[in-house]
Amino acid sequence: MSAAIDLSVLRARLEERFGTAIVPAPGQAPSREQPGFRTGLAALDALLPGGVPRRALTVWAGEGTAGRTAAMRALVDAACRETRVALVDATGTLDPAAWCGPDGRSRPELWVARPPSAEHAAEGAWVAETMLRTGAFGLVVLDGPAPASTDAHRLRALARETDTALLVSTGGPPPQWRADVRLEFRRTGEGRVGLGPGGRFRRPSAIRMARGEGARAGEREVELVHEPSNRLHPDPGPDRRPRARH
Amino acid sequence: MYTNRRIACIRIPVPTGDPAPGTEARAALAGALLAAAPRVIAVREYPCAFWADAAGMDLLGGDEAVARRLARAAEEAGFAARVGIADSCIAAAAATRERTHATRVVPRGRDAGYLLRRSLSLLPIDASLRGALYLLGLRTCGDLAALPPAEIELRLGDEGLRAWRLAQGRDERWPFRPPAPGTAEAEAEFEPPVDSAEPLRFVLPGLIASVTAQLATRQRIPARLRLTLRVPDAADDAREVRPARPTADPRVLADLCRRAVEATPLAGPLCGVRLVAEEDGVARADQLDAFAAPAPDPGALHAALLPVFARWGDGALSTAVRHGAHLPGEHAGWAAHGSAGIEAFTAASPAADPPVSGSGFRNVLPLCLRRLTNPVSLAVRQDAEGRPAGVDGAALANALPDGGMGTYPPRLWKTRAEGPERVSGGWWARAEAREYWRLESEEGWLGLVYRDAATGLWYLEGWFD
Repeated sequence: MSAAIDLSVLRARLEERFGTAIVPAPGQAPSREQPGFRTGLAALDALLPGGVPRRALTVWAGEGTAGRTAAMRALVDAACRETRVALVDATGTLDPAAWCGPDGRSRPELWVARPPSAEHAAEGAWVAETMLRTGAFGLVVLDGPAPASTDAHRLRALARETDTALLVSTGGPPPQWRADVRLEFRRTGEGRVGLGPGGRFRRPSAIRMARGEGARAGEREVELVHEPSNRLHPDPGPDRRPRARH
Repeated sequence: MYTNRRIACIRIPVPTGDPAPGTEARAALAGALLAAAPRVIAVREYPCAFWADAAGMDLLGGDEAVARRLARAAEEAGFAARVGIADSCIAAAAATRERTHATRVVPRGRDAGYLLRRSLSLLPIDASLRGALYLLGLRTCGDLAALPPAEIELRLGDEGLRAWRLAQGRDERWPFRPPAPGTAEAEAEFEPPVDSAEPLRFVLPGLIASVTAQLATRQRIPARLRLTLRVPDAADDAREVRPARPTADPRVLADLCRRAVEATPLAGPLCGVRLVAEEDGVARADQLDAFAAPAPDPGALHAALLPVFARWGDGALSTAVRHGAHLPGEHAGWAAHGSAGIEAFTAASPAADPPVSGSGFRNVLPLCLRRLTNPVSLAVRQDAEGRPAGVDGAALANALPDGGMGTYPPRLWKTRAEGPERVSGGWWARAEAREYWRLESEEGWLGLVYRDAATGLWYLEGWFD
């Protein structure tokens, strides 16, 4: 029996015993369909049935308090269960408390890159590009100013080359350059009060999706309801003081 | 004591009248030769010759194999070289004069016998002494070596005695420093010194390949690299390279070394570079991880992200950590790990948790707070009860450049407020007493503000998104 046959027999036995723990030999791996990353949020996943796609540049844009950051956190939390995630917090405004898990730390598969000062916010695109080039992350999120069109073009090409899902999450109106998927978050129910007693805030928001540049066809809206904690910290610890009231 | 010396001389025959190879070509040749020998040093005042340390190569095929590898390396760099290996520099140099052999190995302990018939012109001696020896009728090293040393010293002095020793193969010259125990070393010199670090591009891969190969024979991989750049008339410029974890990946190490060189400009022309790898007792065991999930190589990740660490500092790799303090700014923080956290990051296995199966939040999202690095002073109009009733949004917009953070309410707006939530403490450091409020604009923007109890001033802490 030749050495090659020996090896194939050994590999088959190992696969029989250890299943998917055996990494397929180079060139023999079946082509697997790499799905995108779902958020775990039913309304958003219904809008993006395949999730935030790999090999593509997805843009989430929108005004403040429209739930963009909350959706991004849900996406990252879900994606960390499947892959390593790089999050570029270019503006340095993400509150760490929201990213801590039950053990008091963010997930070990999450890499957060934060600039030393606000002056470096514009370098976020460059950092995201470097993260993409490593090929070590399944999802790269750039949260901050939208990159310039040339940078975006390069980022999109890199996401395609490295089989990575790239999400650009930015405030304000969506950038004009080409993206594979665009979502726009906006507040709805204007004039309706959202803030209620006890600090509860329930109000619908809208997510409008347009695939491709300037495509208005296929625009859809879904409603989200935000419910922040009624305390500054959901887990205030040993603080036993009565809540102050006016 | 550095024993068991063996040295190789590599000579590039250049026809008379032809120009010698340029600096870059010589650097490329030195880099190529490092693939066969750990230390390569240019022969002073001979632009077409190098010394290479050939000691300790018994396990790699011995002298013959080293000679062939050196010749092949030179050939790959574009040069037809002649290689001689001997115990002494003088015999190795003589061996390269044999035109019939591309490689010539002088057996151990036979240098004196080998030099007997070699021309006296091989000896690096003063021209006047060479002339005197010629007038005495001496033509070969053997002729000189046969003379009594006392007569030589009497007539030709110390210089003559030195020539006599060289003719016997007793060459005290040795261009290499003894290697430190527990390390692997490689070095190369430039003659003449080069003005820029560009030639290092050719030399570094050779240096790294050499030290990793030395350590590989001991089943070790480098844990740290110390790069010493030698500048004439100046102190050695030492730079240390610390991969995120011990790695033998030459591409990673070359990248790290290149960045270390580029980090600070050289103080002057570069005349030599020395690379010392410390094994640090780290065994090479990567091949045993047969069933480990594919993970990025920490060393490669470090090398690829080194520019990010250089620009963004340790914050380029951060994780959120809850501290439990009451102030929002202190309740949790970002722990900046720097490159030291890379290994732990790559060790995390995402496959440990099953993928989530949709509808995790059932359309209800907990809002995330976005906090400003430094709270911004805010103009707040209060009602009779001291509750915030309006906010000057124009002042806010001027104070906060919108760097992709979303839009702020642009004008004076009435607000609906919820609060206060009073937080105080920290008397042991700087006593803080604050009233936190949530403010909602008419457009639905939700912010978190506080009033400093001591000054009565209002600040925007952040907003919910």
